[in-house]
Amino acid sequence: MKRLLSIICVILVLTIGFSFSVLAEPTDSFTHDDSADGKVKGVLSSEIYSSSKVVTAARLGLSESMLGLTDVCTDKDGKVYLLASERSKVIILNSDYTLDKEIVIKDKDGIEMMFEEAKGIFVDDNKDIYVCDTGNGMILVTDRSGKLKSTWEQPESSLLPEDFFFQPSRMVRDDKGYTYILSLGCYYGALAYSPDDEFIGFYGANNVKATALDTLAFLWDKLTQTDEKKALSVKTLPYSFVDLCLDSKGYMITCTGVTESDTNGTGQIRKLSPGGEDILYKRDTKGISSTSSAVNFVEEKVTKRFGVMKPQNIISVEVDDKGFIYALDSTHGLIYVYDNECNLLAGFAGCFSDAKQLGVFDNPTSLAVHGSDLLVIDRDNCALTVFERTKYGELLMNAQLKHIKGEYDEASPLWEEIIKMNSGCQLAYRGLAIANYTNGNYEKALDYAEKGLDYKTYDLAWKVIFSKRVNDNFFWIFSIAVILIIALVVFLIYKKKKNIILIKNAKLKLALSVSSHPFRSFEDIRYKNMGSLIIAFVFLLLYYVANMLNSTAAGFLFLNSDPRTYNTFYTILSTIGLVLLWSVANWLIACLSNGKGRFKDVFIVSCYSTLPLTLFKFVRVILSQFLSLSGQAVVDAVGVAVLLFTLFILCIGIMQVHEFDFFKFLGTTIVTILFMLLMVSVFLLVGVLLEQVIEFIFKLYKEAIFR
Amino acid sequence: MFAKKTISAILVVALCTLVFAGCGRKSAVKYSYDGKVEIKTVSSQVLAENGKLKMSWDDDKKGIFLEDKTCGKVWTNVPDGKDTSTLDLYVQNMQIFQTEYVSSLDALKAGKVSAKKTDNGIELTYYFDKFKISIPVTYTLRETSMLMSIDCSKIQEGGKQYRIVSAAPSSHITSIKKNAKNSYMFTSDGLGAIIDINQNSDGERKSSTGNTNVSALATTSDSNDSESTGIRAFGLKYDKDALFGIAEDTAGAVSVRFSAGDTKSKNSSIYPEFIMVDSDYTKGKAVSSPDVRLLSDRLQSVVSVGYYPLSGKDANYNGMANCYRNYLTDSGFITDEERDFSSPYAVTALGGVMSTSSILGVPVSTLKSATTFAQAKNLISKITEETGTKPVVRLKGYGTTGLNIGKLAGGYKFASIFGSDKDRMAVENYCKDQNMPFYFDFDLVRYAKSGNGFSHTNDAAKTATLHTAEFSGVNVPLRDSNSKLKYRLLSRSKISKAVDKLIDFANDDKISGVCLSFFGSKSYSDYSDIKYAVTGLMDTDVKTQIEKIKKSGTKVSGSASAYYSAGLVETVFEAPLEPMGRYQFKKEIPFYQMVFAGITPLYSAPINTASNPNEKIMLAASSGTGLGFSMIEDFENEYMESGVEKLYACGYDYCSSIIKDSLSKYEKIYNKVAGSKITDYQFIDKNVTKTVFENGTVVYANHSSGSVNSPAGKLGAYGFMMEGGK
Repeated sequence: MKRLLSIICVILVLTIGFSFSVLAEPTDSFTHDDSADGKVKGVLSSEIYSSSKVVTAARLGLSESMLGLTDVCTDKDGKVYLLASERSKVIILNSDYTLDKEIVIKDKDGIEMMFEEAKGIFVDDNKDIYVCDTGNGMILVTDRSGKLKSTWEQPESSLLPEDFFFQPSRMVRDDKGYTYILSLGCYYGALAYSPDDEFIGFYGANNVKATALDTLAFLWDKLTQTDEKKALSVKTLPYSFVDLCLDSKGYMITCTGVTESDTNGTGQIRKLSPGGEDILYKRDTKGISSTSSAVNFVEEKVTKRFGVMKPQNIISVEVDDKGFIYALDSTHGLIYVYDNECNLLAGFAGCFSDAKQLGVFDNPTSLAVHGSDLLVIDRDNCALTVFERTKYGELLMNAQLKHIKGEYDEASPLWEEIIKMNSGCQLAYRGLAIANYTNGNYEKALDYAEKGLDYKTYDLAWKVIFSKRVNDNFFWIFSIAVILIIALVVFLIYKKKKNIILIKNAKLKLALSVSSHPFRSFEDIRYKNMGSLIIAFVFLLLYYVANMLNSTAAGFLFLNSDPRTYNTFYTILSTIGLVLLWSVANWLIACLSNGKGRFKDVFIVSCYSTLPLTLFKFVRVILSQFLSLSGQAVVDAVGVAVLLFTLFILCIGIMQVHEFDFFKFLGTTIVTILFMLLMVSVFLLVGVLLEQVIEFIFKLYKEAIFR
Repeated sequence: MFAKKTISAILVVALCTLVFAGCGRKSAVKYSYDGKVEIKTVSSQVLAENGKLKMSWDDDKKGIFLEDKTCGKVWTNVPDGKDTSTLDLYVQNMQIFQTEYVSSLDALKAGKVSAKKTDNGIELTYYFDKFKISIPVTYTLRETSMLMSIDCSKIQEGGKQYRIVSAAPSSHITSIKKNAKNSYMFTSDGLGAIIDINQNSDGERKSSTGNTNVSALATTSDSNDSESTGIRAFGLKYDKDALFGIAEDTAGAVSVRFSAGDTKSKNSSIYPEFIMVDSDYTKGKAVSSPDVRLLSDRLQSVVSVGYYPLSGKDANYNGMANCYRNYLTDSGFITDEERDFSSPYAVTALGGVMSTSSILGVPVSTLKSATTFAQAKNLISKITEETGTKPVVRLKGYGTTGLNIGKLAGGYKFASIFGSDKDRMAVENYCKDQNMPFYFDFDLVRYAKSGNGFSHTNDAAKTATLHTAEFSGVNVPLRDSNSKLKYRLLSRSKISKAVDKLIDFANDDKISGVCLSFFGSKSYSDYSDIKYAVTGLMDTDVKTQIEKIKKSGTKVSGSASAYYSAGLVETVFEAPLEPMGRYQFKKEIPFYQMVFAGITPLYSAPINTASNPNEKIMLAASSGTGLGFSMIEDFENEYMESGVEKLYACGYDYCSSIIKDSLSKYEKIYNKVAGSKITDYQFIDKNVTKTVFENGTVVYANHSSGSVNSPAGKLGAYGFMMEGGK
C-alpha cells in the first residue's frame, strides 16, 4: 500500500493555467521613486519625450534600405549622420530629417571603400567625417563628397601592449583637439591622441572591483601559489567602455555594457576628470555623496527570457549641452535620462521582437542628441526614430537645471507647474522644499521635503522650526522643566523620609534593578528563584513593541522603513524569535558543557537583559520626534553603547545562571552562536521543504480545478 | 489497522480521481475524413446576376469572376490563370509541431476539387488526401456584394498527424501588381491605414491583424495594439475601382494579412485568413524540452467575408467607410436612435485605488478614496461653472476595489468610503437637473475574486487547452508581469447572468446610466464551449446584452467600444484616436471615426494624461471626436505604485486649465461638426489633412510639430482650422 501510494504520488502531470501579460504602452514613461526603506521603485510618470517620427530609406527616397545602421551623430550645423555599415555608406540628413546626401567613400583611385562591421562615426568642426571601420582596424577620414583624406591605423608605440589589436569602435574629439578612440575589447581605456594626431597613451580605464574575499584570495595565492597554479589562474581584467562622449566642458562620459551575467551591476556610466578619475557623483536622500561607481543606472531586477538571465546593457551614452546624460539600454530598448547628479528624470521607449512601430525598437544600437530631439537608430528595422521633448520634459529639465545651479527661486514656479502635471514627481517636491527653505517658508519646506523624501532639506527646515518653537515657548518649557525637577526632588526627599516603597513586588523590583545591580539580581534569580516568567514575557513584549514603534512611529528623519508597507513578522523574528532562539541554543549548549542553569532561568535572564535596550528604543522614538539628523548620529552612538551594555548584562546573567567563568562563557557563547546559525539553516530547510509540499498539493488542487 | 487501510484506500482513490480527471479529454468535434468522394464539376457559366453584379465561374481556370456592372471592372481570384492558388491552407504537423503550407493547386493537380452549384453561387470543396483534410468554400452573390464563406462544421479532418490551423481562400482576389498607379491597399489595423503597394527600399512590408491567439483578447500582440477597434475589414483601390472586404460571420476568426513590395513577388496583396483553431503553449514532456503548442478544437461556425465592389467616387477609403457603415446598419449594429451630441467634452471622475497600508504591523491592501461622491459633484459643478459648458459625466472606480480589478463589476456595490447612497444620488440628481448625461462604469468581464455568485475558479473563461486563462498586469519599466495584478475573464456563458445582475442593481439603486468598460470593446474566446471558440459570437452576444440593458430602461455607454457596440451605445468614452505608428503603413486614417462620427458621440481617452495634449486635441478635431478628461480630488504619493490609470496627471488644477484651454480652441468646431458624419478625409500635404463633414464643415489639421500652410491659413504645431459649414 505504501509503495502504491508512493508510486501514485510520483506519477503526476502538472499543468498550470497560463498567465498572460498585458503590456504597458511601449512609450509609457517611468521614473525611479525613492522610498523610506532605501529601495528604489519604478513608477509610471509623465512623458518627457514622445516619439514623433521614424525615418526609413523609403521615406527618404533612397534606393536601398539603410542596412546595418550602427551609429548616429550630429554636427554643429544640425546635420545628422547615419552610418549604414552593411551598405558601406554614410547617409547625411538635414536638420529637418530630410535627405541631404548619401556618401560612399572612395580612395584616390576612385575605388569604393567597403566597411567591415564599421561601428562608429564622428564629424569634426571642419565637417570631416571619421568612420570607425572596426573590422578593417582603421579609421577612414573623408570629406562630405566622399573623398578619402586619410586613414588612421594602429599606432606604433611602445605604450601599446604586444597583443594589442586596433579595432576602433567609437571616437570623439574635444575642443582642444585631443582625440579619444575606443578600441573593441580594449580594457586599457580610450586611446588618446594629441591635437597633432599623435598617439599619446591610454585614458580612463575602468577599475576592477574587488571585494574583501578577493583580497584574501589574492594574499593566499601570493603565499601558496606554485608556477603550475599560476599558469592555470584567471586574471580579472577591467571591463572596457562601449561608448563615450564629451560634455560642454570637455569631460568625458563613458558607459560600460553588461558586466555580470545575472545582475545589472553598478557604475555603468562614469564621468572622467582629466586625470581619469570618476567625478560623477550622486547624492542620496540624506545628502550623502557617492561616486557613480556605486550607482546602479538601470533597474535592480534582471528579467529572464527563455530561462536565461538578461541583464541590461547600456551600449550608448550621450550628453547634451546642459549636462543631461542619455543612456540607451539595448536589452529592453529603454532610454534613461539623467541629470549630472545621477538623478533619473525619466525613462521611456522599449524593445519588442520584430517591432516595426513608432517609439519601440527591435535592435537599438546608438543614440544621439539633436538640439532638443533625441535620435535612436534601430539596426534591425533599418530606421531612425526621432523623439521630441514634450512640454513637461522642457519644464522638468529646465527646473532641474536651475535647481542644480542653485537658482531655487527661479526654479520654483517651474516646479509648481510640474506638480500640477505630475503630482507624484519627487524631484519637484525636493525642488520646492529647498526653494521654500531659502525663502523662509519652513513649514511648507517641511511638507514638500517629506513628500519628496528629501531628508537633508527636511532636517534643515526642521532645525529652524524646532528652534523657533523652542524660542517661542521657552518660558513654558523652562517653567515646566523646573516644576518637574522640583517635583522630582521633593518626591525623592519625601519618599526617603517616609520610607515609601513604590514597588512592593519583590520580583518586579528585582527585574527593574537588573540594569543597576546585575550581579546581585541574577544571583537572586539563580539561587533564590526570584525570576518571574510573566515579567520576562512582558519585558520581551515591550522589547518587540519598542522595535515596532521605531519602525513605524519614529520621526521622519529616523524612519528606515516605509510605515505603509511595514510587516511586523520580521520584527517578531528579530526580537521575540531571536531571544527564544538564543535561549534554546544557549541552554542546550550549556547543558552539554555542564552548565547549571535551567531553561527557565536562561530565558528570564535573556528577557531581563533587554530592558536597557527597550528603554532606549522608547526614548529614541520620543527623541526622534524632535531631533535633527545630526542628533541622530548622537542617538545612534548612544544606542551602540546601550547595546553593548545590554550584552554586558546578558553576559553576567548567563555566567551567573550557568556558574561559568568568563572563558567558559566565551567558549559556550561562540558555540551557541554557531548552533543558532545551524538551527536557522535547519528551519529554513524545513521551511523550503514545507513550501514545496504545499505548492505540490496546491498544484494538484489547481490541476483538478482547471479541469 | 483496518482504519489505516481504509484511509489509505480513500486517499488513493481521491488521488487517482484528481490525477486522471483530466485524462482522455473529450473532443467537442468529430474528426473523420472521407477521401473517396465523387468529384463533381460545374461548367463555365454565369452563376448569378443582379442589377449591380455578375458572378461567373470559369472551369478552365477554376476561378471566380465578379463583375461590377456599373463600371465593368472584373475582380477574380485567379488573376494569373489556373496556376493561381484559390485556397492557401496552413496545417500543423502534430508530430513535429511545425506548420506547413498547402496550396489548392495540390488538390487541383490531383483532381480533387469538387464544384457544386448553389443558389446564387457555387461551393468548391478541396480534398487533400495527403493531409486527410477537406474544406468547402462557398461563394454567394448578394445584391451589392459577394459572400465568401467556410462552414467549419463541414470541414473534415481525419488523420492525427495533421490538423488544420487556418485557411486563406481567394487570397489573390485583392492582389495587385506592384507599381500600379493610383492604387493602394487598406487595412483596418489599429485605427485604419493605407499601405503603399509599390516596391521600395524598405523591402517587404507585411503584417497581420486580429491575432486571435489564446483565450485571447483579439488584439493581443507583442507590439502596441492598445488602440484597436476590432474592425476586420480590408480593401484594395485599383485606379478608379475598389474592392472592399468585410469580415462578417465570426469576424473575430478573420485575420487580415498583407504583403507589399516583396521583391520575390510581382504582386502586393491583402487578404483574409480564417483562423480555425486557437493554440496554447504548455510545458514539454521533459524539463529541457521546449514548450509544446497544443491546438484547440476546430471552430464549428461559419466564417465569412463579404466583398463589396466600389467604383467612382466611392472607390477609396472614404467609400469603404461608408460601405462599412451601411453594413453595420443593415446588420443591426448601428441603431438610428437619437443621441445627444451637445457636449464637446466628457469628464470621468476616478473613485479610488487599492493601496497597501500596515494595520497592526500587517500589510494589507485597503481601498483609498481619490474622489468621493461629494467631491465628484463639486468637481463637476466647478468645471461646468468655469467653462460655461456642460460635460458628459462618468464615474469610474467606485466599486469595492476602486479602479483595481477585484470582484466582478466592483462587487455590484459602491464602497462606503466614497460616501453614502444619498451622496451618490446627489451627484446623479445634479447631473440630471443640469441635463448632463451621467454614467457609472462597470467591468463585467475582468475579475480577480469570487463574489456575487461568480466563482473565480469555476466561472472563468478557458484557454484552447481548457485551462483557466489568467492575465497579469505589468511592472514598469521592464514590463515583466506583475503577479499582484492578476485577473481572469468571465466565462462567455456567464455574461448574460452578469448583465442581469447589473440590470437588477441599476434598477434597485436607481442608476440611470451604465458604462461598459471591456465588455463591448475587446473580443475574447472561451473554450469551455466550442461555440465561443476563436471569439465566436462575440458581436451578437454584445448586441443582445446591450439591447437587454436598454430595454430595462437604463442608458448604456461604452468605453473604447469595438465596431459591434459603438453603434448601439449612447456614448463612447475613450474612443481610439491615436495612430499606431507602424512602419508598414503609408498613412493612418481615423477609419473608426469615419464610420461612427455623427452616429454616436465619441470622446477621446483622457487628454490630460496624454504625452502631447495638443496633438491629441488636433486628432480629435480632425475626426469630429469630443475631448475626454479624467479627474481626481486628492492625490497621494502611494498612488504612484498602484499601476492603474495615470492618477498623477489627474489633479483638478491641471485638468481644469487643460479643459479650458482645449475648449477655447475646439468647442466652436465641435459644435459645428457634432452629429455630422465624415464624408471625406484626405491628405492634402505630407502633414496636413482635410476632413469634410456632412454639413459642409471642413477642418484642416496639421499633424506635425512645425508650422504648415493650409487652404484655410497657416497652422501652427498641431494646429487646426475650420471652414464653412451650416
